[in-house]
Formats: sequence, C-alpha cells, structure tokens
Amino acid sequence: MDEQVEDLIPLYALGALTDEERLQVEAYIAANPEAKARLDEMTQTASMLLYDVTPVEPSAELKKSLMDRVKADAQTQAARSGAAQPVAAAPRAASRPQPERPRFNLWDLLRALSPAFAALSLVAAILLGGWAIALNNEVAQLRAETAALRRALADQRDVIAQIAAPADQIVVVAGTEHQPKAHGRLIAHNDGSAVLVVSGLDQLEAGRVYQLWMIAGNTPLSAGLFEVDEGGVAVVQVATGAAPGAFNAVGVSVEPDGGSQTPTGDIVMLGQT
Amino acid sequence: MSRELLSDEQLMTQVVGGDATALETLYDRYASGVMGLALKIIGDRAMAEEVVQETFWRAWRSADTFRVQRGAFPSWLFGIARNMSIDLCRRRKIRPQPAFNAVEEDQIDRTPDPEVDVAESAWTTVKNEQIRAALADLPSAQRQVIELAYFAGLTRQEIARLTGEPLGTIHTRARLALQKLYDSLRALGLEE
Repeated sequence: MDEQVEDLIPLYALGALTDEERLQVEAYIAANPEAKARLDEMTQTASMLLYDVTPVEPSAELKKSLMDRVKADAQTQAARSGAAQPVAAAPRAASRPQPERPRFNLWDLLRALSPAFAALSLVAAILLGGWAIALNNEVAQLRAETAALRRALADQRDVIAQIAAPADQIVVVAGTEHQPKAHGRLIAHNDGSAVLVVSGLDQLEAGRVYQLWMIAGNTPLSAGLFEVDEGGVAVVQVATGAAPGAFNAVGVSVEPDGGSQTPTGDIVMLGQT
Repeated sequence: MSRELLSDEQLMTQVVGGDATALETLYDRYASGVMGLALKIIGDRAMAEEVVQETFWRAWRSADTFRVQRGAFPSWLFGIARNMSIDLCRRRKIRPQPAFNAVEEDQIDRTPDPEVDVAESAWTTVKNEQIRAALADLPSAQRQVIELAYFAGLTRQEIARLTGEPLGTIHTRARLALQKLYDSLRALGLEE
C-alpha cells in the first residue's frame, strides 16, 4: 500500500487534486482494486453533499425562457425530420338544432327481447374498452419511439452535412495504452463546429460515459459526452465554440454519468492538433 | 396517468422521445434544488439562474446519455449543475462560494411555492434534511475542508493556504469527514 497516494484518495473524491495528482491516483487505483473500492465508496459519499442545499425558487421568466427554447428545439427537430407539425384541432362547427323525428331504436328492441343480451353487450363493451385503452397506450409508445428516431435521423443528417463540408482541420485521435485499438478523426471547421468519428472503443459499464475534451494550453474544456454502439463506434457532433487553431490537443476520458468538470478517469484517446 | 405521478426515470424516457412537457415536470420537481445548489456555489442570483437554464437544457439535449436507474436522476442532474457552476466561476474568474453565511441565508426568499409538487417537497424534507443533519454532526474544521473542496472547487494546496493549516492536517480532516459522513448516512439508510 502506497501511503502517500492513499492519503490523496479522499481528496480525489472531493475533487481537490491537481491534474498531475489525479493521474497519480488513477494509476494507483488501476493496479489496486481494493483502493478503487475505497475511492468509489468515498466518491459516492461525497456525491451526497449535493443534497445539502436550501431550495431557492428561480424566477418565473427563467422557466418560460427555458421552455420556449426547448419547445422551439423540439419543433425544429420535428421539422427537420419532416414530421407533421402539431396542429390545434379545429373547433367543431356548432350543431344546428334538428327537428325531432321518430326513429327506430335497436337497443330498446334488443333490450326488450332479451335482458341476457343486454348483460352480454355490457361485458363486450368493457372488453372492447380495455382493448382500446391498451391500443391507445401502444400508439403513444410508438409515437414516442418514432419521435426519438426522427431526432436521431435529423442528427445524423447534420453529421453527414458536416463531414461532407470541406474541413478546416482534421485531427487524428489515437487510443492510449488503456484502449490501444481505439482510433478516430476529429473533423473541425472554423465556425467552431466539428464531428468526432471514433471506432474500436470498449462499451462502458453502467454509470460511465466517454467525455471529449478540447485542450487549450493546459486547460481541458469539455466538448460533450458520448457512448459507443456494440461495434465500438461513435459519431459525435461537437460545438467547440472556437476555431480549430484555438486548441492544441483533443482527448477522450472515461467519466461518471453526467460528465466531469475536468478529466478524472482514464484518458483513452489523444490527438495533437 | 398524471405526469406528476410518473417517476423521474419514466419522465426521462419521455424526454428522450422529444416530450417537452415531461422536461417541464422535471423542472417543476427539481429547479429550486438546482437553483439552491448553483446559488450556494456561485453566490450570484443571475449567474445561478444561467446555470439552472443550462443544466435543464443539457438534460434535454443529452437526455439519451442518462442511464435509467431508479434514484439516479437527481445525482445526475445535480452533478451537471455543480460542474457547470464551478466551471462558470473559473471562466469568469469568480471565487466559488464554499457556503452561505448566516446573513446571506436570511436574505433568501423561502416563500413556499404553491406549485412545488409533492415529489420535490419529499426530496426537500427527507433527503435534504437528513443529509444536513449528518453534515451538522461533523466538526466545523472537517466540514470546512469538504465545503471548500466540493463546493468551492479548491485544490488541497489552496485549502491549506486559505486555512493556514499544513497539508497533512487537510488530508486528515478530509478523510475523517468522509468517513464520518459515510457512517452517518449509512445509519440513516441513505448510503447505497
């Protein structure tokens, strides 16, 4: 047991180490499962501090602004994928009063003919009602799945358009010793948009996610989270907000769900711009 | 089923499907907690509101990175808010606030909101209070170290400089604080 590094584990869990010290702890826990278990326990304990908060109501304008933005985005995604825009139902035309006229009432006739038939009809109506509710739920689920697929398709179209556009810089990103089979390219444009295409990455365990970092000087800036498919492939849209020349390196690390403020897990890919 | 009765995880599944109303329900449930966290770290209401908006925007745009696991949503959401708050402070060269002082806390409007839903109230009154009680049991010197590290984003060296204590003392206080907190939360059944 390395006492000096063990001493740093609680501070790692609290996010109080420098980049160099973090790497030192990560190298230590990678070779020491018991230390990793201690770190996981402390990290989980530290995360409970997030609940030590006095709730404060944000302004009503904030909610309106956010929801306007979200709804506009939802509509843009739907429009991109050619989905029909939601249209408010047209009000029904006011019904005109119709003159009363005698009409044949089949229900009354059947009820008169057979009370048993009435009971049977009631059971059938209940069964049909249940079936209709089940169908309705299925339709709602299919609609949600369709909307998700449309959003994914729209995203893929954007990615294809970005890849097809002339690149201002292409950065080769290679796997490190943690995942030597990984490789990829970052196709960057001067307007701050970029696409990362990677393959050969391992699928991560639950609770972990890959995080892309654009490194300016010694400062890593998060450029998004991603997962890979079963083949270890991911195509990720990146909004760096700066021209490719503003960064001197690109990296990918393994982080807890939701990402981290700075890299905390294994650096699995690196590339120099 | 009314949306208010759906779990966080069910709502996030709907958010992945592009349902803006599901996100609105999650906002109603957690916005005041996220705001409280951001305000605690930044100490500036306007910037804290910026963090609230961007946190929920990220929850909307990155909903598919959330792994459905019961009880995981608040930690995921609050983790995003904490990282954004500390990052915002660093980018704007503002020193994060380790904690409110008594005067600042008194200035916070705690007027109950009639629209705060049952789940949020439960979250506030149970988990929040129990964790506060566990933190209150910590010796103040230990609590100071974890506040400066976790909420102010300071390194161990910065904490040592700020408190005037040797690094070894900071290490010991951090370790003891986490151990005591773990024991307290476990006794409360909150540590999984």
